[in-house]
Amino acid sequence: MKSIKIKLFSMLCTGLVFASCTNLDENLKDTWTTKNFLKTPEEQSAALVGAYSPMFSWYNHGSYFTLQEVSTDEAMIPQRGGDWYDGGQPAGYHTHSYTPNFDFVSGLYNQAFAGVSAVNRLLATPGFDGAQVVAELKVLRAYYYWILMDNYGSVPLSTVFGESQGQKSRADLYAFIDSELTANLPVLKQNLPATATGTYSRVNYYVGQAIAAKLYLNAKVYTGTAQWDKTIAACDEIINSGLYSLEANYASAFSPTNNNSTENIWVIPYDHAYGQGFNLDQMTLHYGSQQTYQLQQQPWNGYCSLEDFYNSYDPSDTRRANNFVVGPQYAYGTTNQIQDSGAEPTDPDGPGLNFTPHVNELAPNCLRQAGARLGKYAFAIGATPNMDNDAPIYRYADILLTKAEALFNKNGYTDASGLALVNKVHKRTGLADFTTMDATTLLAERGRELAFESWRRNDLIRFGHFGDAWFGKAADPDGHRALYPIPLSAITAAASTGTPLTQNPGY
Amino acid sequence: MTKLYLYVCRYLTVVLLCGAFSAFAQERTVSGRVTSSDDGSGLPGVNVIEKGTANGTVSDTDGNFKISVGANATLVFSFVGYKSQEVVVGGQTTVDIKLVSDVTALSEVVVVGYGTQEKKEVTGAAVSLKSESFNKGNVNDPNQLLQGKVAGVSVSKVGADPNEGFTVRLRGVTSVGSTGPLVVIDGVIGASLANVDPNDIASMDVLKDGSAAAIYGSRGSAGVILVTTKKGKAGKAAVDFNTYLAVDEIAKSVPVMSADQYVAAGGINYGSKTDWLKQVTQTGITRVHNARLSGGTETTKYSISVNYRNGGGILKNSGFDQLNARVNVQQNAFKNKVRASIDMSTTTRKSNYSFQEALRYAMVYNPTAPVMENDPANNALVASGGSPYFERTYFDNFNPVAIINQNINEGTKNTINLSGKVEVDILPGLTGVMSASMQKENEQTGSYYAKHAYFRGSNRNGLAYRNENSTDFKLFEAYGTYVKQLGDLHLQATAGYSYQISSYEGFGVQAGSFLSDALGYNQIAYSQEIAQSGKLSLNNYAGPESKIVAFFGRLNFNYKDTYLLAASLRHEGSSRLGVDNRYGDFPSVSGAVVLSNLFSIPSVNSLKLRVGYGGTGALPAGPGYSQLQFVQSSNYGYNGTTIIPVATTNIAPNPNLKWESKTEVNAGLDFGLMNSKLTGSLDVYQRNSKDFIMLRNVDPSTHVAAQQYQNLGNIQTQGIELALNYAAIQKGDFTWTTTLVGSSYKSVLKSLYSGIETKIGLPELGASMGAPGQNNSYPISNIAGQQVGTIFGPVFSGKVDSNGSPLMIDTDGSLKLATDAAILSRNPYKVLGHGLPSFELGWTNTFTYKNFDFNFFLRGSFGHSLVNSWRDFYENQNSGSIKSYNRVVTKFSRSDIKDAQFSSYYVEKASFLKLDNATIGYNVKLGGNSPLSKFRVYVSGNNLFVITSYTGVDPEARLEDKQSSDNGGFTSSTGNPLAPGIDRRSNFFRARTITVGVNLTF
Repeated sequence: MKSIKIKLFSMLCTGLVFASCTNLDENLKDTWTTKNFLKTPEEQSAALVGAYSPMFSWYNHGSYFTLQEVSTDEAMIPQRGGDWYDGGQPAGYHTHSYTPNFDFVSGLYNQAFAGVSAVNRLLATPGFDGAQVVAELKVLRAYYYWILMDNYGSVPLSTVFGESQGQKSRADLYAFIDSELTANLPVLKQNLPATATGTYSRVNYYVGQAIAAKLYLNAKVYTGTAQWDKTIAACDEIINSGLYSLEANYASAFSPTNNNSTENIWVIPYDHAYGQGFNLDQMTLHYGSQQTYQLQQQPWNGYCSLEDFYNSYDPSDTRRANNFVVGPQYAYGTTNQIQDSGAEPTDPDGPGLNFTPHVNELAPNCLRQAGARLGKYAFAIGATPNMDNDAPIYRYADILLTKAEALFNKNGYTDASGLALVNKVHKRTGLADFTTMDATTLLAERGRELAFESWRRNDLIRFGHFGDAWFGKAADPDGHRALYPIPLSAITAAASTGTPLTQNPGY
Repeated sequence: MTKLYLYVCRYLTVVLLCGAFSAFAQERTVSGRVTSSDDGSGLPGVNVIEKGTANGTVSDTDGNFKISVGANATLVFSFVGYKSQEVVVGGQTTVDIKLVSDVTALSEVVVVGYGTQEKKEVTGAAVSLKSESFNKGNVNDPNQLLQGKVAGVSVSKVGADPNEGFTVRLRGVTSVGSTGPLVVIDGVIGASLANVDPNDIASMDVLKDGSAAAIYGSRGSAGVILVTTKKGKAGKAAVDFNTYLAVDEIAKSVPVMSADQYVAAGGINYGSKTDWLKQVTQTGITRVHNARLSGGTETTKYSISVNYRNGGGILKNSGFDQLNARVNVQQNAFKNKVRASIDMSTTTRKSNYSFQEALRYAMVYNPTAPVMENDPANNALVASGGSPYFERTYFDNFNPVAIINQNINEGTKNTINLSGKVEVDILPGLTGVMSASMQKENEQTGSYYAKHAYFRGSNRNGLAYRNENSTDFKLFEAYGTYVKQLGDLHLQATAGYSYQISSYEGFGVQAGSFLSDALGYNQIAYSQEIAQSGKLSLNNYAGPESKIVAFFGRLNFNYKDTYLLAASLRHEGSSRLGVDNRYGDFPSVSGAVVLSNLFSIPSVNSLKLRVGYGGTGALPAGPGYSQLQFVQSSNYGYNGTTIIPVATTNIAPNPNLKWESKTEVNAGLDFGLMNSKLTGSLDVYQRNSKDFIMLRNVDPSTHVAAQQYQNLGNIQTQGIELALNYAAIQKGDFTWTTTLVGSSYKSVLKSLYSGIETKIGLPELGASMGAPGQNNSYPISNIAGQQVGTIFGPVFSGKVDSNGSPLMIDTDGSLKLATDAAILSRNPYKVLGHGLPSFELGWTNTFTYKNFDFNFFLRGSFGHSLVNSWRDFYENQNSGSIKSYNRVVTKFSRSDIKDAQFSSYYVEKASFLKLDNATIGYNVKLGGNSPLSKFRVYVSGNNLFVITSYTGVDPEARLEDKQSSDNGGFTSSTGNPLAPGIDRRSNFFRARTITVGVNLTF
């Protein structure tokens, strides 16, 4: 009845006025839609590379890097008086006090799933059905699932755009990633890169093998069953390709111009213009360091390393000078020590800016100048908050150490070829070769070599030391902190969908 | 000489006329006094007209009149609020008359959607406010006219920024998007209030409940404010001229340590004593001139006005310069059967926004630091020919004087409105109306941060911003009204069609590195970064044409002025919604019974009971939410070794997006008591808003992005409103009228996300305290079952640990640090207060005595709390923070608290009562030959005193939150209505204003 009335009413009014004025189509002018986009090969390439976009957030404050490093014995974000309390969260990652409502916990989760759904959407889009494209996308999706499985354990699995298979166990996700790699790497093998940087920053056969190597290396953690042979096989595919080699100089693998490094297997191609998001200069340097590096923006004085970790390096280890910024800080091009007007009266060396490896406390009154700063990725003079250094995801040195670790676990720590691999990487430190090896030494050497490359949490868990006590943190031996909680936002989002999420144990 | 000449002329004329027409015209003089039958007092201003002629006069202040009339004359006495009376003069030379007050005649006209109604016919909750009742003093924004005057309308502005608007909220929180009421100016939906000068407004009508607003359908959810501008009247041309000068002084600022106290507390002593606040503030002077020419004949009426405003803020450099012009012409033809009108208005406003950050840093900058530092030994910049201002390396702290002196922040906005309307009486009782309107707004802003400005500029070796945006709006409406009397039943039907198109576009550029500061933002092409990649940031946008199509109808029944019934329906569609959900229906039905016509109740003159139900809606804030959109990422990718652009998706499309909707039930009682000396109305209502259009996190495994606009949530608001008007004294020369409006409401978040009702709130919808050190610290939470704007956080025990860190109370009563996992879980958090007031009050008193008038207006809000950010950040005695920032000093300051951590300690009750305005005016007695018909002078004060226990600057409720800015960052321009209650550090301080003005009518 009502609809008849409305109809009559509408007809009458429309008759009165003019007929064209009931068209409500919405034609967006400043954004692409399915009506006007994805028509040309260039547009399709742009959309394809869009599946990698979430990774640019990895080295922001509060994403992958933070979750992998600040929760460990390599790095922390102390509360420096009035700075960096931030609801107790930054220090909370370090003390393993994180809860489902911690902001960064949802950040990585959402970004990794953004990658998954970008892949799924592309796979469902006409024009993205070439064998190489499909294989590349599926291996990329396997990587995103590896991130999710490694950090959160059990998450929903989706392989078709818009459809969820529900929350899968960690072992099921392991099996999924394994099967995706097994099915798609042979396809990628038909199109091998000609050089180390031939398909720069994109997934290729060797990137897939690196994903596999890390998956198998941690298989015991993920499934309870170790996969040392598979780990070795995956590493060998990369090593035997001959494409990759160690830099003579450790620093060149991390410099602002490391995009040509033959040590890079897969990187996030950060750039001050074309790939923004690597903000470590802001995150770690002191406000006054702006003068040292002539930075475009005042840094935030947050992240620093632990004194014990700094001291785990031999003073003559060339990596120590590269990986940290310590000591008095000078204005660029001068010998004028920078004066920090905000220095606490309790700072033993006064207002002159001086990064001491010693940190008085994690919270609440960490001295503003305390702590060795994370200098591994050299800061360019005049840098913007967006650094040019590419961030390695898989680096050749890591693959060599990974193979060594698998050999040691398979054959015992007396394995000579394993020791040779470790020493191959160790050689450029300027120190003497290792003559023996054990788990403790290997873990420490991995820490020194791969510092601030987002592997520490993964390594500590695999070696069984993630629940240890370290500076600012008491031991948490029950082990549930080795998985991050499913973020509260994901739990609430799923609650209304009929497929609720189960929280990880202990949260 | 002239007088004599006139006298002679008149005499001769009279003699001649008498001689010629004495047979049938005997002119003589009648005098007398008009009094009120209520109390016998003389009634001034009564129209006394000789019936059938244009001959008339007006009674004087005592009610006396004198008029020359012809033979057989009948005099008609009429006065607003009294029954007209006719007296046959006959042979009388003295006519004394008592006028009887008439309750029904008091019925004023109320503007409702697509027409007007007499107040007695209104069935919904509608309030009409005439210009006499508007707020007085220095009023530069039409919204301010309403502040505290209409029960249920909250009008709030924090601080005295001359370029900041008011936040208007009607009956609580009804939407999570744009929650301001819909503005209709002279019938034009959605026209800009910025293009109406407060001086040109004749009345503002507020449609409060759903039944009244439903005829506007979409966007009616937050209520409707109908603005009617002043029009010309038939008769002699009149010129009104108003002018005033207003002076603003800071009424209150943040209490901080003196230089000596600061040094004693451990601050660095740079050897000077600087009153930073004094350095960056000034006496704000506002000048306003308004002139209006109006008049006309029975068929042509016109009104032309020009308004000039020049406002200066309390912050140096802040102010505006505004010129507005308005023309209205009405022309009737074919014996008034065709009526046409045209309205035009235009406003040009130049604003200097200055930098409110300077006020913030003036409070916390080191009070021992000098303003300037010319010594190259300490100031490296001076050595290199740069800034001679004192600056040090601090996080989020800059020399405030340097900020305002070195940098530029200004803009110009032009608004043009044009509308035309034709009404035709087609058949007896049937009238057709067609109208078309357009509005164009164009705004250009520019800011420049100098090469050596430590604040924003030096990082980029000079930094310029230039933005331009324009909005375009067109409205076409056609409707018909049919009126029919069937016996005792009066029937009125209205039906019509409405079509709206709006669009926007803009362009912005930001670039740095300039050779010279001289050109500011006017030659961005000289930026050395233009040539480089990676630093140039361009921003331009163009919205689609957002279209709204609506069909609407309304029926009104009136039986013997006693039983009233109204029903309306609007069927409306929007291009911004999902294809299948574009149209929504917004019905209403309301009725009223005039009880005083049915029963005779002692001392009750009028009593009307109203009940109404109505549905309204709200639109998405922006376009495109229902479509899959690709954007070019700021990050590029590689194709082989070639860099290529990247297309990604930011939000997941929602093709099912539908109207936000609200239903409301309202019951009201209008009454007149004691010979209608006491009139008032009481309203109770309940409104349910649901399907808010909100960006929420969605399951990222199945959507193209982790966020999507969805229809979510349910907020229920219940409220009660009372308005009383009492003509307390009307004796002789003295009158006193008092008006009291009070309202109380509670907006409760019934549910947010179906399926999850978290007790610890969702930080994703809250607002963070911000830097330094309190990111990820959320003082406002949205918890199902709790009020909107619930302040939720850890409870401070009053004790601190050995580090001076505050200890919070855990669920088991034990004391723990805020960083303890038990506290971080939010489980021990408690409700610490509510950001929205539970009771609001406005009390107006008007006195007249002879030629004097006096008015004062008290306004209060009660029951709300504020998170005092100033205290939260700067009151603690952290030794490192003291080096960087001066300390806030209040009665709560404790030297043993060393940590800036949000807790119950920083939540304060902020109930207040303020003398919003007091005005005293004098009408200068005018001689009979004066060209002036009115000459009034007045003095007015705004914000004269505030009674509150709140220790912050301004206890005014924060109805929405604009986040905080840090270290040279920018604050958000749009407010979050779900996070009210935070007193941010980014507001102007409160000002006290004294205004002196003159009103003239020629």
